[in-house]
Amino acid sequence: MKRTALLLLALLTLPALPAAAQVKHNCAFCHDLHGGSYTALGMYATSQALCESCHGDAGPGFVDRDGVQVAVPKNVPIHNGTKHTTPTSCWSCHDHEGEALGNLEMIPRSRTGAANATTRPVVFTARTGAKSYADGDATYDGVCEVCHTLTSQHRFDGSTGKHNAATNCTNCHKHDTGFQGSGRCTTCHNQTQGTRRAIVPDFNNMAHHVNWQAAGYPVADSIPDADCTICHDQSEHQLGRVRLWNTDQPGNLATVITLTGNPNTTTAEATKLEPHCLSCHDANGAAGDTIPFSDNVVRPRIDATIWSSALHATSPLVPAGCYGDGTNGCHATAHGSQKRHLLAPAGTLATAPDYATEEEGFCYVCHDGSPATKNIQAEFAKGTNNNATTPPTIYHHPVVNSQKPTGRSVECVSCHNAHVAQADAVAPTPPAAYASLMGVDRVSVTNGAKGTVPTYTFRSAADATPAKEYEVCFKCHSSYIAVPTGKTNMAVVFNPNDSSYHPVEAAGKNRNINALAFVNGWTWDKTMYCTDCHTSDNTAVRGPHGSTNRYILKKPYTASPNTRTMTRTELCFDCHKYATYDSTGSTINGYSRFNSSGHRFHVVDKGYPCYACHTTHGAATLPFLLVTGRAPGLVSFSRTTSGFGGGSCNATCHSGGAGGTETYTAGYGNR
Amino acid sequence: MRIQTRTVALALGLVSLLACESRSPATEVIARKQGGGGLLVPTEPELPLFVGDGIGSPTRAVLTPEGRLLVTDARLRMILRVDPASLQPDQGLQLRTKPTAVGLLGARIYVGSPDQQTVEIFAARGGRALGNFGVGAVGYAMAIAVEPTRQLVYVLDGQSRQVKVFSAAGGLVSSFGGPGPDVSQFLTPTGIAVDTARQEILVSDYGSPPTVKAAVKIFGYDGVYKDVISGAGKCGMISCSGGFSRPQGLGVTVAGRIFLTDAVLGQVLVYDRATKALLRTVGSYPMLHLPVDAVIGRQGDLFVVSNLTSRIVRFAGEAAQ
Repeated sequence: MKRTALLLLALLTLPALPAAAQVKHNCAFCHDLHGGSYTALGMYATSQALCESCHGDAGPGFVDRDGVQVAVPKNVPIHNGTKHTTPTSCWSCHDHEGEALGNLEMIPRSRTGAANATTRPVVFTARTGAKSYADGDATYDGVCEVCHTLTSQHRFDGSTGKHNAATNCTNCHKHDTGFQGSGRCTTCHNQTQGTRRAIVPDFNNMAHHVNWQAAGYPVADSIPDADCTICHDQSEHQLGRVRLWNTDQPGNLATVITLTGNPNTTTAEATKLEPHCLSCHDANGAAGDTIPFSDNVVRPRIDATIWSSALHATSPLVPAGCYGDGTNGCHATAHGSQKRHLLAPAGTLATAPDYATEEEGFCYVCHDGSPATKNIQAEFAKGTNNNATTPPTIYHHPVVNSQKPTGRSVECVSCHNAHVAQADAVAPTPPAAYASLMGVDRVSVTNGAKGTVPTYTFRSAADATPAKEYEVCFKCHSSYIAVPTGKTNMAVVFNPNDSSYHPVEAAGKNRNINALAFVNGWTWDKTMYCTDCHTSDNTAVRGPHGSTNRYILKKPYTASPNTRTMTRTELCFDCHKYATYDSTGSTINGYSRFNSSGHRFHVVDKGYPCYACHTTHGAATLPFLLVTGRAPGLVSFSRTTSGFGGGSCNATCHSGGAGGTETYTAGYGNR
Repeated sequence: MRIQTRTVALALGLVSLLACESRSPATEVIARKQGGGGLLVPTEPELPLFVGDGIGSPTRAVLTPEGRLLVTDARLRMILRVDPASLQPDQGLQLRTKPTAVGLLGARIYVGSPDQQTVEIFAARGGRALGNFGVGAVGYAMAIAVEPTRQLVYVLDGQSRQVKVFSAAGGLVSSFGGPGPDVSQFLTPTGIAVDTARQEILVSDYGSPPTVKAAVKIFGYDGVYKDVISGAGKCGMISCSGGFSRPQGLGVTVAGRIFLTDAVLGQVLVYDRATKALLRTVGSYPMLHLPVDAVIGRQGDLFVVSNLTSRIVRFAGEAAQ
């Protein structure tokens, strides 16, 4: 009672205070509750309730009479309390005596720090400049200084740094976050902060989260905190911890990921990042928001389920997760990379004209034999690119920009989706695409009459219909896009309505070929892949990346009708039994439709290669992949349909080279 | 004939409102996202399943058509659907920012977002974000109340100290109040309620003691001041007693009982609208610790949001009396 009377007396006799130090909490606002007396606070719930009736989550104290936000939500420690046990309530730092005697914000005139155990004076008569929160002078009486013994800045004895001295500490260290450094993120992180590198400059790189340019912000420094906190939990910011939300559960501290090391150099740290990335890049985005940032950009979607089975996610050879292991990895810091798609390493600029480090060169980091065991880079080095000459001798898909024909382009991602591609547990049946081709766009066909261009349907990467390998090839090797002069429209020649074709889209039409006319398990009714012929000459590597053989062929094949001696190592005989065309035995060469040593006579005795009479992919009107117009070669062919059938061949070489017709009887009939 | 005239007038009013709304960017956003149709039908909210340890920091609450509660939770940053029996959340809508106010009108949930300085709109079924409104008009939505017949959303803006009246689609219709000591003005407004039976808007205000006492100020639907219930209580020669000083959220029954929460009293004060007399108090500390809102349940139950205990407290049949 005596103390109260003294306080009242002090209040009544206060000299005129400077404007900044005007008492804001007039006595009656708290003491005149319900008309009670000035000592009646104890009858009302608790003192905390008294404060929070205004400054709590539902209170109107979000704006004090100076228009300054002072709300104190309950979800953070009153004063970032993980470093200390006090303060524990509002009254640990505030009381009315300090305010009455000139300090702002009901700050008392002295405080006893829990750790330094010394009662020290507090002078807080201005928010900036002298006698403000921490004014930087040698008298450590700022309200932010008197207690601190562990902070990196503004300790009670001045033993550490004095950053931003004499500024308003609460611009960054706000009350409603327990005085964590919660000012504009970009204000501090546009420069080095202790051991932390500057972050904001990353957002000026080619690729970065938060497309601030699209959002209309003038500079990267304008990125709002709300964008940062989509990913970052700030609850232990002042402890120097980088914490990342599960973006589907913002506010749930139980699911926060805390980095305890550098993911650039530590596999364990890099591994932590994947769940965070996927929490936003999955189907529902960040808690249902697929446009999580203020840039109004829809986040790229990665199917988390598919990714969990993807080869890049499951292979023991692959660095962990999205971020890799600091040496090898696909994605760099999410803040920004000098390369597209946030590819790693962030600081390496992809340069014109090849941009190799964000295209094939990026994949080569792993796919050069280590850690991925198959050396794909070497495949793309096979053959010589002299695309300007005739004929071209390039034996690989031209992923290097300088090798690409005008108007055409192919990159690794044309055929492979790094987030989706899988290994095949069981080899698929042609034409079903290998799992390594999963997740890429393609072109399906609806075929018309023989020799006609089919109707094309573009199927996006997300299309759920079963993919066929040839559909991926048709993206470029059909008239879905312009077919270069002299190139074949593969969608036309593989039309199952044609008279004959290699069985890429459907089983072939020469139905009675004896199985012994084939090798390697082939039969007449099987379908095949483009890559059964067009693949690496290296049997350890699959796929048409490159080959030492022209046309990226698995084995040698000379596309010329000129007479020569064919060998059993040529491409055709990887499926078709060499002996059937070479042997003099009537049984075995009888497996050929062109019986009575027909093939033997032409191929071995006369030296006419397959190419002289047969086309490679398909023939619209002629059976048996026959082709006319080559020399030596057929001028015309007519088929005999009676009996086993057979045919009449008018060829340039008949009659001693004068041309003429010879007939033959087929070795077997059609089914 | 009178009915027909009124109907025509109402129709013209709606046309006028719609015409006005058609110029509102917020309305365009909503129309584009929602596709229209079925918006006015009272809809029981269906939100994602709630997974958590219960309520965090509850502030405002509204009743759903089926008698549940929608509660703002500032700590969890969620709108919680609370079961009236267990008083525990069974569903919840995760938000990006702290919600301060909530309203339910038709198939839409309206949420005050001071961080965005807007009112955010979500689909009651599923919680899909539909857009927002109030840019430039709402600084800090302290509380929201709705008028279902007129399809109006009343937003108590603590920053401008005004009640902003919006159409269901988010078009600003009118406003009243404003900062000041006059009975028709507000100094520290906190809670708002719509009394559909008497067509009144009730606003609680801490005032600025000792010169301006806390009060509940009552306005007509047209925003014109009508009446006040002072927090001064009964005053004698030296002091007063029996009043209130931290009036927060409030609820009104059809019979004219006003249930007013007082944050520091830890009580709900029950006033009679007609006589403005304090009839009784409900609850006490510590059961109610920083009570900040009161909701009248379907069976006459009274639900009180007790902020510092992180609970919703039910007083069975209390509002039926």
